[in-house]
Amino acid sequence: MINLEGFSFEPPAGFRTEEVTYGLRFGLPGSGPGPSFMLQSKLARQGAKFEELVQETMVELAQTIGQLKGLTNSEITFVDGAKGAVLAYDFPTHAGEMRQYFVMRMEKARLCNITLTIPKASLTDANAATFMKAIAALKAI
Amino acid sequence: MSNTIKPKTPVVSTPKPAESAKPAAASSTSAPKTNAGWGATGAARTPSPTAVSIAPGSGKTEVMCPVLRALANEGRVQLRADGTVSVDELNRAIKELGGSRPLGAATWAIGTIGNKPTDILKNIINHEFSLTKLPEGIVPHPADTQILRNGKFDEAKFNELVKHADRGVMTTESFANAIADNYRRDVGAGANKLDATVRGLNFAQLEFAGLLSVFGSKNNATGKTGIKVEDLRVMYEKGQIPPGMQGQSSSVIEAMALQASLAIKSDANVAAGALSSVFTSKGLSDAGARLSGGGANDGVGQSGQLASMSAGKAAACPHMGGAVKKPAGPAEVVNAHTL
Repeated sequence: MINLEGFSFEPPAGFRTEEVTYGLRFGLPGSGPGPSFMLQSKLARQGAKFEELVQETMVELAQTIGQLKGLTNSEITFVDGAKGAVLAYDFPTHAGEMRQYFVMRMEKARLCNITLTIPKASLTDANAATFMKAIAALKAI
Repeated sequence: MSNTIKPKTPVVSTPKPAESAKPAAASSTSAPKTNAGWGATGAARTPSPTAVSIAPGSGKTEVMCPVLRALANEGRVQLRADGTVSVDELNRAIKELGGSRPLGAATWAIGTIGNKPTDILKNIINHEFSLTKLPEGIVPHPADTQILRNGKFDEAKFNELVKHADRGVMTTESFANAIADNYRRDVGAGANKLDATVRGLNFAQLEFAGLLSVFGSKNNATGKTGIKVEDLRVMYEKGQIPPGMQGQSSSVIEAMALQASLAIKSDANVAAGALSSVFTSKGLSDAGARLSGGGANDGVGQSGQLASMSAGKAAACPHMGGAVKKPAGPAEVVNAHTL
């Protein structure tokens, strides 16, 4: 049984999960701009190296997000010792400037992408650290 | 639970919000160096009484095309009492301003179909069309600037256009970005997406290509063709063709080349929205922004997808979603889309 947040789905026998995307939002519905997570697990392109995927993602983001500023690429070490990449950047939206962290981790054939988006107006060192700590707790199972 | 984040040197440098990104000074109006109504030869031109009656600032509903409005206002074409102008006169006026005769003819072709379908045959037979009835025809289209759409100069809409200027000059890139913005504005406001994509984008590209080819001048340092914001303002606000926009030389071929350039740039801008599936990095980023309340690209995704699908490219692109390694260099990109 798959929990689809308000729905449940029982796939017929023989089906297995291939890709998953979750969207999480901080705070109550309608409470205005706030932090969010997008979590995604999918099969990585066959034969692709992690560094290659990170580079492609950077190029794609830099070329397609309007007025993207301050794009940086950092390394992250997860609690289980695995390494990943954190792309960080700012961009304007109708609701003001957003800070976004695009985290990537590859485990065998699977790629996990996580975005953490925080309105810059509510961005503090404390909440950024808390949220990044949660991301760093990502484990491969 | 321990974790470390080690900063590395940024690999990708994003362009600075250059001076070019700054909105151009929209309030400065430079007066033409020669009086409106006087040609280079000193020959007087007198606008017709009808043109005077609906001149810019008259408070009456004005001609919604900035070029035709200026031509009538300066007496370069004589606006008749019934609101029509002679297309032969229009040809001559365009030629006088630097456009070739074929370009004038192209303008004429646009003019004749600028009215209601029922008027088109009459327009062609009589070599005329109505400037005052343009709103009834195909001229008001999605993705236009709307600067004159309500019958008078709209300062806010003008500023929306010229915010794309590059150091005070509207280049093909500037117009392409403006077209893409206007397209998103109209689609976001509920305009028919097919109409906005097929008619809106094409007409806007055609209009600005004509404007640039007849009135634009090339910057020898950059090689870019453009029109100064201050000159555009004179045309839109005062209904005059300022000296800075006169005396250029252009042909249909140049107009076509400029239109192609505009089309590539504005379509690419719009099609960027086609990456909005969450299975692309851009799409996942957009989804995060949307959840955070930013809605960065509200209305863009669907329209961008439509634009790309109509081109038959993005929907079937194996590079999107990471199925195939994306091309990196320009040559690879060209090969990937032409092989």
